[in-house]
Amino acid sequence: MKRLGGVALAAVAGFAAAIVHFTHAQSAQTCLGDFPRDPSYAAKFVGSVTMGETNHVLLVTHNGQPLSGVQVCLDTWMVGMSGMAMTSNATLQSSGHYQVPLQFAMSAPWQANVVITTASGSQVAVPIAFNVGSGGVNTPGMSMPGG
Amino acid sequence: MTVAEATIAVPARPIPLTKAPSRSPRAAALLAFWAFVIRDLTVLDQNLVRFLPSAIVQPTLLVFVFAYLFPVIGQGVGGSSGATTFSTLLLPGIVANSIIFVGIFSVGMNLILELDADELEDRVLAPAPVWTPALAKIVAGAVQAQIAGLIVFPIAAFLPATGLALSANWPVLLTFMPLCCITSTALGLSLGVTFSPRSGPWLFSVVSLPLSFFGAVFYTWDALDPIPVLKALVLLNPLVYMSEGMRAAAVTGIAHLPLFVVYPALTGFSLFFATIGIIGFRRRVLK
Repeated sequence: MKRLGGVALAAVAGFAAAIVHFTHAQSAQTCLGDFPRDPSYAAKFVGSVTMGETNHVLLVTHNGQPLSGVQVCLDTWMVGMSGMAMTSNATLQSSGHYQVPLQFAMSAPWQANVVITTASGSQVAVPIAFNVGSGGVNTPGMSMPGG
Repeated sequence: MTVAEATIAVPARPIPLTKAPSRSPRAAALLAFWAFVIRDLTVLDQNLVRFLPSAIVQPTLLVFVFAYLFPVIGQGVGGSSGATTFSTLLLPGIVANSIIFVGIFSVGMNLILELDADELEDRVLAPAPVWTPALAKIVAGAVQAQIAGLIVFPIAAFLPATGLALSANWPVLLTFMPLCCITSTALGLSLGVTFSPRSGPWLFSVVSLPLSFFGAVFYTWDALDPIPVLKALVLLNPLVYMSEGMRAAAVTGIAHLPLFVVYPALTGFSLFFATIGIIGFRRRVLK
């Protein structure tokens, strides 16, 4: 019965760890929903966004200045194809620059909400629109860039 | 020696032929019940190598595909604002699904085999009502189901690519999960006394699959508004109440059946399945 007791304890411990994890990470992970807009915040991708890449960089500013020390989450979807939706947290690379580890599956116009969670816990959403290019990915039936 | 002298002397007080019982019948029955529960848990302890993979693999695959793979490849279920919402409503459904799978297969299937092999004859000879082993199976199976349900939470904590709006309603969680476990094992008991080993495969294709797909695991009951007939019919499925109740217990922001409906319904299902199971158990072992 010792093994069963150990398994039961491990299950309870895992459950408790999950609850603690969710409690502390909830504000960071949940970037879906209705958040207020604040025009003093802005966001844009640095450089072109292409298929096949997984390290896109987002520049987040507040009153025109690069903004660090906040949690940034990206909720993005392809225009006209609501099933193509993704959500990801971004990690700070340098002042105001956040790395977004998403892979865009199709070359098309996309939209996104950049949800910024400040240190005080308040959240604002910055809507952005961008084009995902094919980036040189040789997909049958699609032309190469410049061709 | 005369005949009178050869007569055996009779003691003044007769010596009792049997020793008086040291415990009451109720105490004996209770002791037998706990012995059966410990027996079943000991068997589980010996078979952890079989139980753990079955308890871990299914929820892991479901969480991995729907909450990690789909969002990462850009096919997040639920549209532009629904990926996290879907993951959130999926977690309680998977917990309920895992619990009911344990009830059906770990309790029900094992009982089918034990009854077929007449392995329960010695247990019904215990100084307890004939249905005591059946009740013990419900309790021991509930412990098993509880472990399977708890295992889902750490899997869901670290695997999904989307967020999860988890918010434990402790009074509901601590009372509802055990109720789900009792219901699932009572269902397993009723199935175990009904099916034979030859119809065992039916348990998967005819019972557990429809239960899962129509059990509000991958969607909320509320979302079935466009199909009112189906929305009404699935109320016959106990897994619907388990999934909806777990949504009330474990997550936030997801519509669910009210608790004043879920608790009585699940309690009713537990009593119904337990009654069927115990009646069937008595009939099978006394046959």
